[in-house]
Amino acid sequence: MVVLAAAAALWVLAPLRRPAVAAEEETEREGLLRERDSISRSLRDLELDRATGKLSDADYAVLAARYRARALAVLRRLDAR
Amino acid sequence: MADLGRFALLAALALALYALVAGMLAGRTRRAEIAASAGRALGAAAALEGVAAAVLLVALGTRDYTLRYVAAHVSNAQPLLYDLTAFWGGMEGSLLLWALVLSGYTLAALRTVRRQRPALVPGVAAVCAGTSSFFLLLLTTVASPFATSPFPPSDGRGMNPLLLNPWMAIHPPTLYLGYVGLTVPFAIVCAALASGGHDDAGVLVARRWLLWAWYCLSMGLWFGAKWSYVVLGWGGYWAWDPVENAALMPWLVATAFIHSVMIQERREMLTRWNVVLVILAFGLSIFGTFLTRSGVLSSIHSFTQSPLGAYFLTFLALALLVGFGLAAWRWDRLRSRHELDAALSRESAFVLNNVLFLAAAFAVFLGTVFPVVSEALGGRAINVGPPFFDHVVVPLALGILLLMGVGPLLAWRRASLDHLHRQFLAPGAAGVLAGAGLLGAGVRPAGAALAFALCAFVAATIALEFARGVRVRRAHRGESAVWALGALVLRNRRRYGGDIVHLGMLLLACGIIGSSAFATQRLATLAPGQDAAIGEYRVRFDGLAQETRGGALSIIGRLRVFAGTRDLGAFEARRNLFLRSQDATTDVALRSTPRDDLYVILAGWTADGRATLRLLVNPMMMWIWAGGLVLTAGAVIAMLPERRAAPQVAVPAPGVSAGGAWSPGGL
Repeated sequence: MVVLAAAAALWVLAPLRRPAVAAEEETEREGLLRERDSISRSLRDLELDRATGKLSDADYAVLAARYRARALAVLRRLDAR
Repeated sequence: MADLGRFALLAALALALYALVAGMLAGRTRRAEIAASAGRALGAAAALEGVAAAVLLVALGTRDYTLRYVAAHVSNAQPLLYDLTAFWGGMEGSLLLWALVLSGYTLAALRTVRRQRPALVPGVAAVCAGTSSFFLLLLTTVASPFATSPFPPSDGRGMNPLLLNPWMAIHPPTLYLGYVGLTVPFAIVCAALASGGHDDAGVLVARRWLLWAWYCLSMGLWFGAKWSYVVLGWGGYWAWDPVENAALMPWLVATAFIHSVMIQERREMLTRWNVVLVILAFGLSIFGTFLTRSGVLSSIHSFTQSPLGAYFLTFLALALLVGFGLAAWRWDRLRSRHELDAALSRESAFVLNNVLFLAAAFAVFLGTVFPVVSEALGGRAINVGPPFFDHVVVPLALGILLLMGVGPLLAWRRASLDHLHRQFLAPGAAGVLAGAGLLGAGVRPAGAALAFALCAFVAATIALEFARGVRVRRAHRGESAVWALGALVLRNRRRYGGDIVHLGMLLLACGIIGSSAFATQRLATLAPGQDAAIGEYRVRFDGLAQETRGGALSIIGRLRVFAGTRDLGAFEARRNLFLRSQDATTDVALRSTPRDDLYVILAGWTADGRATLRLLVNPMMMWIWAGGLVLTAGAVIAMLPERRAAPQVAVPAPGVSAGGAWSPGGL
């Protein structure tokens, strides 16, 4: 049991002997990709809502234009990286 | 062997405590090597808990009565399967299962979080390690499964015979998968709040984990209802028992979250609310374990006699303090970026649905803790009983059912009245026709007929959802109806998976309404050869028999069932008397069809060979069980990973409209 405990302790503490490394932060790119996915999902819902008659063409046009503007802003920022 | 088990748990506790400190330190210093060490400590703790679990399983399988736990839950006459399922049949074993499942979840969560949000790894490790430490502390102090007896008995007491059933073998672990699974969303949200760099508070990463926990809780409740129905022999499946309520409360809160998180995903709204729901769901999972494990439900006195309750309450208070404290700290940052565009939209329906789910959870909480509070304050436990729950929860449930039909008909952001009229016409007509038809046909009580009308309305909305989607797909792509349906569901898994879950819930609702409102029963004392009629059935009693099986003397009522002149075959209703433990169980004679269940209980017998039978006809019971299967299908579809969108976009030249540049490929 003592050997088992010592082996476990060595294994657990081994990473601490490596040089200090800064932890990975969420990059801005990941945040932008998430926003892109969210807009994509919203647009898909919007399209489905219009196609199945839940949303009028006029409402669809207004709402889709807003999402597209947001999407373009996100994609421009992604492209700029 | 017991020493190995004890050592493994002690070492696991030391490692979990180390991981807690290392995780917090890594989060503060943002040092990857410390986080890696914390992760390894959790991995080693999981391995050691696995060793402890293996030791306990071997002790149960070999009937090592030197362990008090084994002596209390295993007996020589008990089948091996139930010797092994005794692992979670008692308090100490079930706490070990909690710790083991949590470790498995922790390792899986660290893996996915490392991929999705590496900055959250230290926090997730710390919160999971803190929760593990709590359970390991219990397992190494007040609830050790490896406590030994100096004078082991030659035979154990065995489990309560009511637990010797396949449904009971899977009910607790499934429920545990749900309870414990709520730790991961809590850990992710706490980690995100602590690190401060995540506007969504980690809620969007936590969503999938919470969905899984919700599904496990759903199945656990469903298995429990099935066990209650076939084993307890009272003819019912739900009794507002505090132990059942303990699992229902986090389920209700998790269901609210599954709806409200969609608003956060699409509109970046309700982040604060979702954070509160994740913390509440976790708190209720600990509270549920406290209720079922502390003895507080049987009496406040047994609670005070056992130290377990105090441990649980302290940990619960600490967890809520940490969760709500972090939320309060980041409160301003979690402010919604948008507001509701219109009162009539799917978002507003979801908000209302959340209010109803939370009100139902609060009512169940109040009814469940009332006896405890009344005993603590007045010295006498006052049980509110099923009438309280029925009066409060049933109207809320009907409101939720109505919203289940209304919500999908509303568009996101804004539903125009003109379109709404068209959307509601067919489902509304289906509901009205069904209600009028049922009332006209003399279906009473009227409340049940109206509830079925509501179900018809919801069923029509779900059918319409699929029909419209298929029609649009066929118009665009010229596919066959079956192909279009399959492609529609697979391409929009979350949306249509959710609709299928709604269909499952609808079947469940129909089953509950039918079996509650139209059940009939009678008591009949019969001599051999005599029969009794109930509904369209005639049950003939053919005499008594007895046999000894599995340590029990079984008295068997032999029956023959007829529907009109049609012979439906022979059935048996049994009472099993466990001579050693003085317990008795019931095996009912059960014939199930989609229309109704004939359910016969052997209630008593006399020396001259007569039997007293309790006969029940429970309509639409099979719908409840079918609802669980459909819910499973929908949940699996909704949980399947989505393909990441790869939109085609053309960035327009200055002055050119962006319209049409985006192609999300919706259908």
